[in-house]
Formats: sequence, C-alpha cells, structure tokens
Amino acid sequence: MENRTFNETQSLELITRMIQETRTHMERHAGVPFLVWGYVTVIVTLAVWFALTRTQNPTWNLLWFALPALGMLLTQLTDDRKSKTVVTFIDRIIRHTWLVLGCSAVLVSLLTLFSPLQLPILFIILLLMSIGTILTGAMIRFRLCIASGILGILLSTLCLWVSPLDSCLVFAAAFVVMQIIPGHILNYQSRKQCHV
Amino acid sequence: MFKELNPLLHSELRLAVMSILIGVESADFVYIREQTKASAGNLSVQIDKLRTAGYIEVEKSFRGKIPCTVCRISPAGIDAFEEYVAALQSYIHKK
Repeated sequence: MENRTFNETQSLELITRMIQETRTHMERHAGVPFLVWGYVTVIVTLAVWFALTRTQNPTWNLLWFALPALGMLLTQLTDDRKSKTVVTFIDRIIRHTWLVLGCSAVLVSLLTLFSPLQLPILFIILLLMSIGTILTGAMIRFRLCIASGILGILLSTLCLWVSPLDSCLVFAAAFVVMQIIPGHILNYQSRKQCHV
Repeated sequence: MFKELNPLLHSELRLAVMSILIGVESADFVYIREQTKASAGNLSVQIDKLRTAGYIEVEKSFRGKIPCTVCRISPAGIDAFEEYVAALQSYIHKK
C-alpha cells in the first residue's frame, strides 16, 4: 500500500475492506481458554465424583476449590494477550463477561460451603457457564457455541433431578459439550484461517 | 456544496491505518503492517503524521527484548474519521 491519494469510491472501498478484515480477524489458538477451563472442570469434577463415591466423605468437596485455582493458573500460563497483535472490543467484552460469571460462580460456591444455605450449586454454576458460552458464541458469531450453551442450560436442569453424585457426571458431560468440543473446533478453524 | 475532504485522511495508507484502528481497541505495528502490506519505513512515517495530528495515540514498549509499538485511535481521530466519512458520502450522493 502506498501513500497516494485516490477517488471517493476507492476511499470508501478501502475503509470497508479494512474494517471487514479486522472484524473477521481470528487469533491463532482462539479456543485455548475454552479447552483450559473445559479440561480442568472435567478432571476436577471426575476426581470429586470418584473420591466421594469411594469414601462417602464430604470433605472431598473441598477439592472443588482446585478448579478456580488450576483454571486461573493455566489461564495465566497460556494467556497470549502479551503477544496479541490486535485487541478488539469483543475481546474485552468477552473477558469481562467471564470475569463477572466466574466471580459469581465462586461466590455461590462459598455461600454453599460456608453458610447454612442449601443451594443447588452445580445447577447454578452450570447455568451461569452456559449463559457465558451462549454470549461468547453470539459475540464471536460461532453457532456451535450458542447451540452447546443451550444444551448446557438443558443439562443444568437435569442436575436438579438426579442425585448429587450423578449431577457431578452431568456437570462434567456438559463441560465436554460446552467447552471442550467447541474449543477444539475453534482452534482448528483459527489454525486454518491463520494459514490462509 | 461539497464538504472538503480532510487531506490528512485522504491518503491510502493513512486512511487504511485509521480504518483498522476505528474497529479495534488497539493494534500493534506488526498487525497494521500485515493488514496494509506497507513497508515498515513508510508506515512508520504515516503513523507519526497521524500521531502529530492527534488522531492516534502511540505507545512504545518492549515484549521481552523486542520493541513493540501499539496504536489506538484518539477521540479527535474518531471525530475526524466520522467527518471524513460524512464528507465522502456527500460526494457520492451528489454524483
């Protein structure tokens, strides 16, 4: 591109093209945050389920706190914000959406563990995460994410009907559908787009 | 009566830089160079002109040991860009 002047039509075409290319720009490894939180959630949930099934000791519920700790640690380690060449408004909105939902999930967990309230915690957290998945899908225009988030909401209601132990399995399955599968597909698509 | 096109923006490369920055929170020099396919020297000069006019803010830092230049559009730049697009539309509609 040169530093030349041009006519009005060319000028509008250039503006449209630049805005369009930036809007459709996708970072490599776009699905990594989904994969990090998806795998960590599934592994921790299955570990809690396994420990509770084997020992019947509710103290193992404290293992849930490994989830935000591990998730945040791995998110920090895989965070590519420092190497990102462009930061869009959507990036910021997505980050803030998940921050609000994540803090709400931690608050609900603390309320359940340290207060007499008996909240259906897995239902509430799954509902919050499904909402986050749908919103993210809508923002990045990724229909699979929206669909998997809707499925997550349906699965969250199942947590209200099955036993607390079985709801762990529903919770893990929902995260496979909502985060792991879309995360891998998103990574595949971003790799493909970055190679073009 | 046609509105006068802002000469600072009515240049291919500078307009491309502004069009990229209008749609993002920030973009670094490497990204802008990839999108515009301009030479580093020319892009650097044009970015400096936009910065001097107050249309963009430029932040120079380091990523590890690699220098990094991050650009973002300023409120004055947004106003200038909007005025430029309005002027363009008046030209096209009257043709």
